[in-house]
Amino acid sequence: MGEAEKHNVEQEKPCGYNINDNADLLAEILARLDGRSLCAAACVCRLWGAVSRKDAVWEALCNRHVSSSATDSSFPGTRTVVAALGGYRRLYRRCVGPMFDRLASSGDHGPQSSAVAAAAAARLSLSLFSIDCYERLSVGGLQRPSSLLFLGSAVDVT
Amino acid sequence: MKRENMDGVARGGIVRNVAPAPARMAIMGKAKMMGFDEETEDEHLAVLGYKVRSSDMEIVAQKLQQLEMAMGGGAPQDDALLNHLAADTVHYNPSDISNWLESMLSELSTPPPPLPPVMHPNSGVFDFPPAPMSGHSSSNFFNSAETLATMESASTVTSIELSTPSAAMLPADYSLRSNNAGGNRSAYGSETHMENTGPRDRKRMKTSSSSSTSRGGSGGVIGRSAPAIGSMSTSTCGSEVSSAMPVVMEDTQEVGIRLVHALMACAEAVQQENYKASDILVKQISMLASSQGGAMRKVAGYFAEALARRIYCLNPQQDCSLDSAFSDILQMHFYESCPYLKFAHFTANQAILEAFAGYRRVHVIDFSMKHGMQWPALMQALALRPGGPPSFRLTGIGPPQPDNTDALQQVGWKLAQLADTIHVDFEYRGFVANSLADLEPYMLESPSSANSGSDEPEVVAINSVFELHGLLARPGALEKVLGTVRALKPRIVTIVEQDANHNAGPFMDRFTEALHFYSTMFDSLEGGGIADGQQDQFMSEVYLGRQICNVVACEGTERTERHETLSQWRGRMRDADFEPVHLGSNAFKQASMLLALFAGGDGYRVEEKDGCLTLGWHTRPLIATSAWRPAGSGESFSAPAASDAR
Repeated sequence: MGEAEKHNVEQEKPCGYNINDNADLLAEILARLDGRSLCAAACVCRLWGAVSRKDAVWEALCNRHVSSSATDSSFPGTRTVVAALGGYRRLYRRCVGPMFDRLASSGDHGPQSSAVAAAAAARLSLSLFSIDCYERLSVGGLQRPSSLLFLGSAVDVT
Repeated sequence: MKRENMDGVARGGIVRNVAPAPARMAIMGKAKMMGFDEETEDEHLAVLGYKVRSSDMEIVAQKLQQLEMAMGGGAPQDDALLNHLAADTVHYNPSDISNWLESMLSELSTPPPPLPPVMHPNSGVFDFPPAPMSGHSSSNFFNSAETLATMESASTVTSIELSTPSAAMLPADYSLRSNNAGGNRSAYGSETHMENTGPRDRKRMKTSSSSSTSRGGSGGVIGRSAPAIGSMSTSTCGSEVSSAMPVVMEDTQEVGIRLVHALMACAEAVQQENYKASDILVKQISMLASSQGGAMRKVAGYFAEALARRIYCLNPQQDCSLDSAFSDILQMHFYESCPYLKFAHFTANQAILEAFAGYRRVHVIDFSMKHGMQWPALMQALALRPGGPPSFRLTGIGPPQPDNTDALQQVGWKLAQLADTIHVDFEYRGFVANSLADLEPYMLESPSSANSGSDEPEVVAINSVFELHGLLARPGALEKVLGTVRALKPRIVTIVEQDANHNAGPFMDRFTEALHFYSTMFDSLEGGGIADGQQDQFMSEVYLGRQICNVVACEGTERTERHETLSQWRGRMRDADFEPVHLGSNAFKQASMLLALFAGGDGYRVEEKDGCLTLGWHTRPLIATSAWRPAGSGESFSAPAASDAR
């Protein structure tokens, strides 16, 4: 499907470089978007949808938001844990995104203002995420996870 | 004429309805609308307190005619109304303050009339300012009520706030109340005056267009600016220390003060075992409470119910097991709707995490297992710590369950699932105990056989969230538990308790403290405004309501909600040979960030007090987290300096 599209586009612009040529590059570009735009990008076409569903893109998004220090020593471990708990996309949807909406609306400069605050935000969001995952583990009966309700309207993740 | 005070219903409403043409009601002491005669009017007016010169009567007559026309004069029903107005109203001339006050004061010794329709702006203050142009006198709702109650003075404390006359009729829903502590006090004893626990100064403002023209003569009324009062009061609410009552922006401020008075009076009557009076007061409280809105109504409702239970000795049967299951559910909702429990968990976890730094085998004993909501976050933090996760062992202690379901086991299973997902070595053990005092150290120590040769030292942390105060109901229980704790040689003991004194002193003190405390808590719940959270909020209120009931209505071993202040707990821990561990700045930052996430959570405050963290609403601390270790533990234990490391 990507091929066909690429061919079409190539026929239209024979000399241009197409953004869809390289999925990894596309991922790099999309990783610089914010959450809402990323979701909008996912609706553009199948290729974009596939790329924007990659967890790596969301990981970059989360990390950009919560940790301005790229030298967070627990990086590799974090990825495993987050993946185990449900992935970065879910982390963003459930915790990081609402956190930032809330903090932004309350007039904070946001954790980007200081590395320490960013680290605190990272830890907090992971903690909240783990609580959320814990709630989703149901013992016989479906429990509606609600410990994150306070962050605002939460829609069930697909 | 008629200084006929209306015993009965407020006529204020009638005044409103009667005036279709807005604003221009000349408010003067008028005895008859038609055909008055000058000399008698003068006399009558003088009796009423007006100093009207005869020469001004002409102007007065003109105004009356205008009034009549404005009222669509002549229609029979209007006649009746007007006559009614004329006959049954009491009018005051605010330009003659001293006389007006005298008349008010003299009214108090007789059954005071409710609500004359002529309104004045009043605001209650404590020192009666000599100048009429008292600014925005602020009144702290609760404090004022209390102070007045204690003042034992029979004087009406009022002040008149004058501001520029405004042309339009003011919205009738703003009114200020004047406080009448004396009236309340005298009212306590007698049943007949129960309904009139305050001077009826629910007054609304009408302006007179003619007032500008006639100065003293016609007794013009002063307009006022309404919103100032409301906003002032809300700002007061924020700034006062124990401003617990929300200021409702309706004409219920006076009722609110009365409500508080009634609550205090009832508590005092109960303390003096004057059950008759307290019975009446309780009913009155319910009635007053229904007219309030928001947090105040709910708090008053719960306190009234608790007082009623105490009076009628209807103590809820403490069926321990059912109670505990129900209160677990309620606590879950409380967890979700407000940050107190989350704060407790996060700060305790941070302390435990820091205490566990460097150890490969860790053991947490949780006195307050419930649903185990505290531990996923700790496990995740352990999983992510540099050097990898330790092997984590958790012992949960809980009360027996009603239907033999092993709730502790289910919780353990869920935690085990989570631990498995994030690859943390996890072991779990549950203990069912009726009371923490039933525990012995040997039960909780990890069996050395399970170590199977591992000679890694196991470090123990003990966690208790809102569990220790219940032990104070039985003498010696707390000491035993602290002894057990000590015997386990923990690295850290984290304790979260309410920061309030609901245990010492006579009933009245306890009641007052509890009223402050729970009003503040209910206030903070109101501010929540969670999208979906109506049910959560309600259940949280029920949760708090049960605590209120216990504090007020129960005694002896049944009263388990024996909260004590942070300093009291500190003293107790010191006496039991524990030394404090300071909670680090990480905990503070995390807590602050957590609170920033709560919508409507601008009121929450995290404060650090000698190494303990307290969470409060505005200026009132409500819960406190503290960390301890046995005195003389030897190791130089302190929060790791590298605050960036996990």
